[in-house]
Amino acid sequence: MIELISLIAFLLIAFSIGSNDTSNAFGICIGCRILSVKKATILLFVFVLLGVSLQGDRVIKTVSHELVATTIQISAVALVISAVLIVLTNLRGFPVSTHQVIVGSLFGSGVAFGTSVSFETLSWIILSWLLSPFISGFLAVILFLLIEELLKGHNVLKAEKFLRSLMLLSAILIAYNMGANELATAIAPIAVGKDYFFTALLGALSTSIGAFLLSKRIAETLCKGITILDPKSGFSAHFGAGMTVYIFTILGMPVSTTYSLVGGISAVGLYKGVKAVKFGTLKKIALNWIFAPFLAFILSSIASKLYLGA
Amino acid sequence: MRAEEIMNRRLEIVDPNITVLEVIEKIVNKRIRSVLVKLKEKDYGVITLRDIVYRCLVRGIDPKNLKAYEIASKPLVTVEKETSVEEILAIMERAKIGNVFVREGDKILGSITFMDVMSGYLVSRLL
Amino acid sequence: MRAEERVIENIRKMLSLSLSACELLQKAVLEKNKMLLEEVSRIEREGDDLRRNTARQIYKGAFLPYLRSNILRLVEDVDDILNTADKAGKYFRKIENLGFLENSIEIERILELNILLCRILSKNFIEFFKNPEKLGEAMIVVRMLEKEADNLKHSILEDLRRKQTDFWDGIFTFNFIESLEEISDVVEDTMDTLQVVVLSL
Repeated sequence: MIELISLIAFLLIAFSIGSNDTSNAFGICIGCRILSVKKATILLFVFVLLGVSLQGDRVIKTVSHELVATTIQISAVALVISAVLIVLTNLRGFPVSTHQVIVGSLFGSGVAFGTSVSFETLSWIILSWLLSPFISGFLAVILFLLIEELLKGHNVLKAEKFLRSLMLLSAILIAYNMGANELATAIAPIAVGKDYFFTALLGALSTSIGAFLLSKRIAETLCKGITILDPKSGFSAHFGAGMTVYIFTILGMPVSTTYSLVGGISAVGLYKGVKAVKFGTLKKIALNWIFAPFLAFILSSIASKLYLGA
Repeated sequence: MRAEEIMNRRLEIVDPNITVLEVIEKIVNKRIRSVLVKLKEKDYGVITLRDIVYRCLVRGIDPKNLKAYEIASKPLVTVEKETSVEEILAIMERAKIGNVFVREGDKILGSITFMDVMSGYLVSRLL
Repeated sequence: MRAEERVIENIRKMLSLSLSACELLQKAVLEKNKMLLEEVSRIEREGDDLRRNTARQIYKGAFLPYLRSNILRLVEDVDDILNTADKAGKYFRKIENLGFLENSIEIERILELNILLCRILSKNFIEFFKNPEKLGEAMIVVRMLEKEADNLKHSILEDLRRKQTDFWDGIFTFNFIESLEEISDVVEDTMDTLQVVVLSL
């Protein structure tokens, strides 16, 4: 029974990952009509599943083994609280980072249940959150310079063809990261130490359904920031974020693609002298950073206490 | 390239007895660089901006009081319509002029200036 | 064929149509054969079809968004060459007294310049994408030829105002000359847009 509740909570989270974060991966490609929504959904399913099955284990291990030694109860409370928070904030049109919510609530219930929690791992994770936008920005600028050099002297039609393929590649990388990092974080509480392929398959399916049903939102949000950049800068920011998240995936650190993207866009924008990200957006993100993990932590602690008291 | 391919077929022929001011008016209004002055039957002189400036304005002569035939250069330097551009340029260089006329027999077909030569070269590079 | 290639091919086709239109216009005016102008109108409609087809390709996702608006403008510029040629033809058809054509080397030259301009554009169109330097050179030549056409127009109008003519013939002749010269103007605009496309990125 408790496992079923966890699974449902996980699937809900997977669904909102699909509906919120698919835009990070395929927003540009769909916006530019390189891909149709249908094809993007299929690609999303394939690469999310590949990501979580092939390289998801590292993030899973960090989140629900090194950070908090989870039990079935801890997982259940954390996932339910996370799902409620994520779904509610989504409905309010104020999406929060899945990673932060899950890490916050796992830590909260871990502490409440009195299991072993690692402040060291928590510090590493928080450091990763802080560093990832900067690393992404740095990589984005390097990529931008590289592309600039590479396309020099090429005619506009060839360059266009080249950029199209790169954008697709970049989208696939981010879709893969969605599996290997984001979905892995969500699946972590119920997957650690088990063969989780079937759960992952359900998760990937839920993500794709979420993406497809709410596809109208895909081309919106952050991609607006990217599309005001020219394709070279847009691609650099996108691929820089993809690479950053991939690097952190290998390190086993759950980080947010959205924030890496913001880092990439701001850096390239800064380099080119364009204000690509509005101050309001940054403020919203900063608030999110403080608000989301703490709220998740507190709610999860309270819920755990209630559960224990019952 | 041969003369007839690059020549300008617009020829503005004026009466020898009009005033220099009228010549200037013609050049300005029709946006051209020279006019032909018909001196006698099949005998032409040419007035370019150079003639107007050196033979009239610089000398302080009122262009209203000077007739076209008085400042016209003659005889015309002419080439056959089959003449090559290289030859034409050599002629221009020797005679220190910027304007030669293209003829077929004793009929004048058009004129060639450096502008026409340049234009001819540039266009031929694109076709 | 990729959607982008189809768009480029369509524009190239439109450019060769505009060359044909200018050649027909020349033939029709020199031979005073107004029947030939029906064909110019037909070519203009063919160009319209190509323009619509191209716009559809772009709508369906040919080219990245940052290029789309400029490509669309290019298509519209080329279409405008055809429209202007057709407009000149339509005015010409309405002129009853064609006396102003006698010995008009200037009108002949404008007709010739229009053909030359369209030929330069349609012959080098694909090449311009690969070689922006050549495009730069061509732009100088086009500007030069356009200026010549503009000078010719002023000269023609200067002559025309000294002639007595029927009121309506006067209006149609004036509009015919204006439209004829406008063709070279539109070719110049097309080159400008083309440069924006080629140098974007």
